[in-house]
Amino acid sequence: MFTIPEKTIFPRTDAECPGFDVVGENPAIDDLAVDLPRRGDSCGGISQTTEIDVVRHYTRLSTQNFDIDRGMYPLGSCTMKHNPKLNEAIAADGYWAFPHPYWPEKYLQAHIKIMEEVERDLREVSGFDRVSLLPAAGAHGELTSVFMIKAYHEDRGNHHKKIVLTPDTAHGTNPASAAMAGFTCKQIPSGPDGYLRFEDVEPYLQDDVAAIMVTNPNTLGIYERDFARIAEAIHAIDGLVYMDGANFNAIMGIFQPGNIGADVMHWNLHKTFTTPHGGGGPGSGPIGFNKKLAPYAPESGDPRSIGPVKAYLGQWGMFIRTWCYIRTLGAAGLKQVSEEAIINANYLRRELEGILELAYETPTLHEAVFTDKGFPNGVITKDLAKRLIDFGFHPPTVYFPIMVDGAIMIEPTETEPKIEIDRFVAALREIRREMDENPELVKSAPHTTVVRRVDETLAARNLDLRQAEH
Amino acid sequence: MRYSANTPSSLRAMLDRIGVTSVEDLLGTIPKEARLDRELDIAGPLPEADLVARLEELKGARPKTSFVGGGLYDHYVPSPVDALAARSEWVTSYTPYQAELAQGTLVMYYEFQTYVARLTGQEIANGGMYDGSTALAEAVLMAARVKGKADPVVYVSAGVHPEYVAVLRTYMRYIGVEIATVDLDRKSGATDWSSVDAAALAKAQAVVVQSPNFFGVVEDAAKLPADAFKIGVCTEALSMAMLEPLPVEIMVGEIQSFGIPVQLGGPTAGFFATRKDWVRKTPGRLVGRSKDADGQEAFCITLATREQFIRREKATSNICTASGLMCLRATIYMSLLGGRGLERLAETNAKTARYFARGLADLGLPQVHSGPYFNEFVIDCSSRPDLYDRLLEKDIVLGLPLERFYPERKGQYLVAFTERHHGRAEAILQEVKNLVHDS
Amino acid sequence: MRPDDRKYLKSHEWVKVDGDVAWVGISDYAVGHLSDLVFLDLPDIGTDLMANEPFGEIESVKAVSDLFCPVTAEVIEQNEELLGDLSILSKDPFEKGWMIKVRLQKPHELNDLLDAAGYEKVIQEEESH
Repeated sequence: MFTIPEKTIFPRTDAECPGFDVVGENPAIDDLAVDLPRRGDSCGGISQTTEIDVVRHYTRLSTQNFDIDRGMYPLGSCTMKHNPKLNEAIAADGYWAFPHPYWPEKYLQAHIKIMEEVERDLREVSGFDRVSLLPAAGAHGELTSVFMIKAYHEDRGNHHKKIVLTPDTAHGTNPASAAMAGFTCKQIPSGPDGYLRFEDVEPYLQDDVAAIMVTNPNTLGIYERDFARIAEAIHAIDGLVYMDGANFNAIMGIFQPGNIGADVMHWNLHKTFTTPHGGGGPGSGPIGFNKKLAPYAPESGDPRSIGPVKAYLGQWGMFIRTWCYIRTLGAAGLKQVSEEAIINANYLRRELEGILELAYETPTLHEAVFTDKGFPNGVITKDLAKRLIDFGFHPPTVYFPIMVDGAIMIEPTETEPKIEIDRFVAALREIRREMDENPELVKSAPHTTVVRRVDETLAARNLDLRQAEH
Repeated sequence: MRYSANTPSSLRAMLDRIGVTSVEDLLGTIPKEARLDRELDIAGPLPEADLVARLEELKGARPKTSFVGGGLYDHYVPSPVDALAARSEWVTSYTPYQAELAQGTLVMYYEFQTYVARLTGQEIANGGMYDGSTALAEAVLMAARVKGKADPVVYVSAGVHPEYVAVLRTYMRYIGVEIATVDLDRKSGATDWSSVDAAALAKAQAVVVQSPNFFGVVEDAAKLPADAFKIGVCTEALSMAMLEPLPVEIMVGEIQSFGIPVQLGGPTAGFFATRKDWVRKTPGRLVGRSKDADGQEAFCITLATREQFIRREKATSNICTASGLMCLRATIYMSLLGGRGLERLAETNAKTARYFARGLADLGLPQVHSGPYFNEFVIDCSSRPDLYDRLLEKDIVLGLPLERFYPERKGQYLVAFTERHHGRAEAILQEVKNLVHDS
Repeated sequence: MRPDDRKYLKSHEWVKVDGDVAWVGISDYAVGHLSDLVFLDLPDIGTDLMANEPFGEIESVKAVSDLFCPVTAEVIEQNEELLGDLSILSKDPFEKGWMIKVRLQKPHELNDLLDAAGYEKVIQEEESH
């Protein structure tokens, strides 16, 4: 029944449709004259549709998505864990959803209280002195942090500090954020065991280094064992240490970034704290930082503050969800989240022995990275990913991190039961067998989706980014 | 732990299979001195019913009536928007990198891009930004990429939202771009472009204008500096349904008015529209129409080579996760109302604002600016300095005291009116009247 | 063996000289590594280019690469035909697939570049990795 793809809304609209009116009539108002010129073109040609047509269209479209509520979504580093229904129900409550940031504070007391508690809990879980809730998403939190690092150095007259170091395991957002603050990036290759070795960082430790940006555990799922030593050496040249908190879900109650030498880090509330990913946002990217950086924070009130990075108060809708999640679990629950994420990932890794080749043998925490090395008959990572779809699973993160050829990065998260992980392993085992016996089946996957493999080259060559005019 | 998926026995089985006795054995790579040697101090766990009760206890008073706008508008959110946008398939899916599993989200982004392009009168639009303020900062960064050689200065109209300007200042200060302000004409409240040398505007990296501006005044498109690289901002998307699109090189703004609750200003969604020729210089995600292996229409993310995960430090922006779910709400909203429905709603807003403008003026609270306005304007309450507080006692929020951002505007209030005030307009105005007469 | 009537850069660009003008392009080896080409960005006519500095970008679906100019020169022509049809690059990268025509400003720089035999060694090394 769902094999007919739902098209865009454009061809099916009808100029005869009544449309939807939000309000009725008010004779005291409706005859007033408005002295403004009108464009009068139905908003550039946005057509009328009936309510039932809109309801059906967006319902049908939604069924063409894979989502966590449908099945395992083992995207490494993206942390697709269960999004509790409680969070959504609370966030949708009009009392929480409708206040205006410019209302007098007497109407916002409850909201402020929730934000204060989230801030406090984030401080506790990270070991940092201060938290700013303002950034709109993880990358935005990185940018805010990098601005603060820049402000710190300008304040200290460190105008020569223009270099930001990143390991090759870094998310692309790290160098991109650093560049937006006017820094130049240098990429350091990680060592043969998949972590950043002190001796590989050492040659870069010149006076021009402003900061290093390190994800810990890194995107291979490996704890950066030289982190503290590297941090100490960076501090010795008055550099700062940024810890990318993308993988914070693996470390709650286990270690605190603020106590191992990090000066600043960001959270993705939509990774660790179960706010939804929503098909690409909204995220929320609070940052934690120590006293050294406190004067430069967006809301420090200090003249050395970088200033705001976003209008208003931050992603309130995500704070209330985070509050619900943290309060539902408590201290012990949060630690258990990380522990079970690690157990699930290590179990999965163990079960995949003999099926997929590991990129690194080094012990991992909440995720592991495999490669397409040894795939027969010209099968590559992309084919495996697409074939997994036919088994009812979302593919893992592929071709990232970039220094692993044909990377397959798997993160089951703590909310997958063992039985689901076993099903996932069985699917991979079966696909591995197909690669030998029927490689074409794998190479032409997926076979069960509403569309077949989409031609990305065509999309980039013949750019079609909007429906043409009628 | 409530969301744990495992039982003690399944955990035991997994640990056995891994070949360790406890989770501690899996943490061996973390040095002892790095480990947290105490329990976290965090409240909970709370059972669901208790948690809900705790939140209910926290709830306090809320305004009965609010005239507050200033970039976020209290529009009615139609029930189909809430119902459709709450579906798991939208809420719990990831960024649509795997196109075959995300045609729903991809088609939605394509519709969003089309709607925004049509509404703004631009050739193309991207799949959304965090919000209006960051969209503006990104637009100014893009102007530098398009323009190449330019004076490192941005001329910003004094009518641009003060929080947007503050954000822009943050984004510019570390790359050495100066922000210069273009004053408003005191009487009309519109930007006085003649106060700045036209040649300087043309040489600048960009010129930024907001319409309707922060004080509600609709800017005169004919007076915009012709030779400058112009960035238009709109924080009340509904005004675009009525007014001619601004003749600008990049149009950005906030789309919260379309089916997104105010929710303290976040999350909302920003829009970003410009010319097709500059598509490779745009920030953010783009969805394109293509074909699948069978030659059927299909959609996917395109021009990802501009993005941070491929181009890293040379990317057009660091943005990754944007505001998909909020773009979905806006898309459903626009589909539901249609162009004519949006136009009708815009008329209702403008008329409601005029009803209140007249009523407030009759009470001795005149408009400050003479320029044309849409659904928001500034009133002068200096003759009734206690009025704001007196109305608050009745849970009526008169508007935004402009003193908050502009000390010289003490006694002036920015007031916004939407369809929410339309049905009960006489009663609301009467209540304000009573208070004014009592005091 | 690649054509020996021109010089090469390690980064796989070639330059073919005729008097004080030259053509610049990329080798078949580079083209082979950039599958599914979608876009070529070339500098405007009149642009001054520095030796070993990027002069443009070539983009495939999943990657983008800088193009390095082997010599200091001024751009005098773009290959319009190539901009309209990138498939020329895979068919004939050394003749019809030239990218820009330039006027040399420091002809002595040519001495620092690889000849065909030297470039061959670079490729062999890359392939052995």
